[in-house]
Amino acid sequence: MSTSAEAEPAPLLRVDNLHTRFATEQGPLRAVDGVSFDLGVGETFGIVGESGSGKSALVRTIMNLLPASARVPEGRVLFDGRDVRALSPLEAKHFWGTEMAMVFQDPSTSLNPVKKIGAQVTESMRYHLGLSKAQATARALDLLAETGISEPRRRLDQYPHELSGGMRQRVMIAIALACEPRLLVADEPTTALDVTVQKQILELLARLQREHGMAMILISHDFGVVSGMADRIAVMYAGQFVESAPAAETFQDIKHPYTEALLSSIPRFDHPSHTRLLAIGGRPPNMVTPPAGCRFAPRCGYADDSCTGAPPPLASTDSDTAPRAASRTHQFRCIHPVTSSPRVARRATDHTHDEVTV
Amino acid sequence: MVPETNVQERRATGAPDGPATTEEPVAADVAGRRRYGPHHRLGLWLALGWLAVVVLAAVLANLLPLAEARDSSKTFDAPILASPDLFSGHPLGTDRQGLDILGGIVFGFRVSLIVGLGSVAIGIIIGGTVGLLAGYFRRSVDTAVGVFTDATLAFPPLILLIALAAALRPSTWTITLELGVVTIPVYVRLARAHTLTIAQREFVLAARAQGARSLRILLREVAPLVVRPLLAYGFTMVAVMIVAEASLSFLGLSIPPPFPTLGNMISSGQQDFRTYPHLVFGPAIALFLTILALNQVGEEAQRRMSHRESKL
Repeated sequence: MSTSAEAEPAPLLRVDNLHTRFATEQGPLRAVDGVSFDLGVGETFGIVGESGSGKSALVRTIMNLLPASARVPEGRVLFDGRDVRALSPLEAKHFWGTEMAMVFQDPSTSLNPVKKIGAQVTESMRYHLGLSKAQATARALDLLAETGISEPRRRLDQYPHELSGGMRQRVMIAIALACEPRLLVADEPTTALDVTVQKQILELLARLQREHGMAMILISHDFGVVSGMADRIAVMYAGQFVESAPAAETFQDIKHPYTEALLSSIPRFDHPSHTRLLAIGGRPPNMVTPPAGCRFAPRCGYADDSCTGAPPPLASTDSDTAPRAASRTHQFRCIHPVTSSPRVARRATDHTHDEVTV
Repeated sequence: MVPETNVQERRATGAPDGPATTEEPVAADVAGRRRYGPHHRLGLWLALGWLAVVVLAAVLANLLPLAEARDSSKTFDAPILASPDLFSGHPLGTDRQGLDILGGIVFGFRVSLIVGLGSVAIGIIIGGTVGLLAGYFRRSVDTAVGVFTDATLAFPPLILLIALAAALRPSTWTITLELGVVTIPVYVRLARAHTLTIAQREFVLAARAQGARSLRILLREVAPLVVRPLLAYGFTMVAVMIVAEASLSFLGLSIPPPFPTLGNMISSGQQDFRTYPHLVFGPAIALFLTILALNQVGEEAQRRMSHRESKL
């Protein structure tokens, strides 16, 4: 974190130099490798990266949902000043689900197939908030109505397989909101849905976030999803944030070649037919033995010998004359930052809510 | 039922499929109709009817107007080795001690049902719980349970049962316990395997994200899905357990005569089999019909369970 000159309110969530390792037969896999960010009350933080970049491992570390094979050797997750990985059992009992809640990628697998919708929505309210069955059911009806589900009363007695994908995701959102969390983590919430439903779900999330004053971490492999929603966007590659900036700046003033490559690989309607997409050659590095220098260097068009030496430090666009608050900085991990890319910048500015896949 | 309507629809509309694709689906539909068609239905209803008779007879055995079948001290004036005569007081005849065969079969049903249902219940409750814990917690619990189940499965069950029969005085309840214990490892493996796949499903993760902890997840998220295949399997195991009890009884390792079980009636009747075949045929046919009916119903139950599972 760069030192901030302005007085800033304490962030709701502070992730500080977080590392996550998975035990594999080849050795420890560095799924998350030194990630830091702050998230203020009511803000949205977008994380973009390709499959295997560590996005899900990062949020699962934050949500304390790691499998038994994972270790967190370094780093802290502070929620409202409390270290969430060091909560006492008594504190933890009603922490998860009430302070932080999560919406998953595939609503067809994240609801229990043999339990009725009503039971699944009311369960956490009865457990965490101690509501009676009647109170919880009344609130469940409100929540289902609020998430735009038709005939909420009928849905309570239905099983997940009787609902459409978009409707199931609305139920998941209702479950996540049941205990009024202050932070909602949405891990690719629209990936498994079809395009028209994606837009509805994103608008729903944005509206609910505004109305409930929640902070949100929005994960996607799709710049289009994140760009319209996030206040700040981080691009993740090989377990690290390679670039993070306020949302508008991410597109206007790209610094990292990976971000540029990601944006150039988005298909566009204004391309002539049969335009070859600028795919990124190669594959993400094996994170058991990551490259010594910059992790993107083997796939980077701008890389030279200096890139493969030492890992590039986290640089900032700040000039000494006008230092900005930590949440406003534009950071990147590259020793040869992209100077300016008007072509990509032009594309990115009107690229909002286009459901295209990186 | 569903394949049937498909066939009818297809024939009625005469939907022109491509020549390469028409043959196989129709063949599959015909096979489906043969399997689930009206004859299959009739068999199922007959099976259910027979099972209803068996259950009612076993439950109401004491109230039925049956001739004495259990206590040979009360049958001095009863005819011995009477032939079956549906309109006499001994419709299926009597044995060497004048005990009524029909009465013996009815009381034998009671033993068979208690042993069959009881041992399966023991297996599902204990084996299911252990398998659930092993599959969910993995690591040392799983290792310990794995060693235990492998060791039990490797031990010849008949020898274990002979040892148990020698140690415990044979009664309906001890034989139920023995057969239950012997089959526990099978349920452990089944429950563990299902738990392994279910525990990785995303709704378990979602429950954890909502603040649920292990016990709650096990009971409310995982167990309801593991119980279904266990019940489906358990239903077919009832028939296996009844045959197992009859076999043990035949070998003299279960409840001894004069208390009638289907197995020991067959066993004691075999010496007079040439001259008085009804002594063996009565209980043997009753056993055969019961097992056939249980298998019919069990197959249907399993088909429905797996059908619903695949839809979820």
